Amino acid sequence: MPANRLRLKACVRAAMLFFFALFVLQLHCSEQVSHHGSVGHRRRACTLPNRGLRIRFYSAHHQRHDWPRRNDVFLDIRQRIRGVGNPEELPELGIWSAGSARRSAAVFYTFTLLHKLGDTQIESGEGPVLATKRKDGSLAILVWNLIPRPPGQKSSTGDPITQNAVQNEPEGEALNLNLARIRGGSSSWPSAYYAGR
Amino acid sequence: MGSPDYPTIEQVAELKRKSEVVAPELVPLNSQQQLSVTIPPNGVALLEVA
Repeated sequence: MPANRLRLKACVRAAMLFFFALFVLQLHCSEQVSHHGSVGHRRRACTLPNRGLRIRFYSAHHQRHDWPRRNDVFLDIRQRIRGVGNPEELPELGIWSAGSARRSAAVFYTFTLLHKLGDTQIESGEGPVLATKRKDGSLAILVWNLIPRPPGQKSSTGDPITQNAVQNEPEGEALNLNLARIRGGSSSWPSAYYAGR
Repeated sequence: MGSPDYPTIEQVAELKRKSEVVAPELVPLNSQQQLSVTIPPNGVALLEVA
């Protein structure tokens, strides 16, 4: 078996382990999320510490590069982490799971950014926001803007893997999020911020 | 590069190199303690608050 194929298999295994760990972490953190409440409301909100804020903003999207992209692999991460999706689909999250390099650059970014998340999920509403707290007290908030393709629409490639996976339109509107404090207090997590369009 | 089923080591290295996340941008909150973020279509972003 070629050495590079072995490496690809190793990448797939690593990706599977990583997302399984995130899935387990979500289960572990679900009680804390419930304690904060407001998980079910439609606004995107997250708690931030009441102190001087220094925000580092990483951004990336697949259109930065011109190599072939497969938007179907840019999945709704939050849904996967929360276990709403079918756990059996987790192997598809691997960059090389289809034995092909035709994967979106956004997947590379997403994997990198996922590694920067904290280990405790904090309050956040419905929507493309995943707020986490790190052990050092800092917060890492992942936001994304997926443009889903209507169900049943086949891809131009006719690839059955593409047709069975989550798909996104290559074009769409930019998402403008506004992060703002909505309440204050004196506890260790005194402030809540609302993030909405 | 095309769409090789099994990319070479060099191709994998090129993909990884071009997929490195851009340098973070420091963004201050405004006077109303608000921050506006624009996410492009099919984009992803990470906000670090320290």
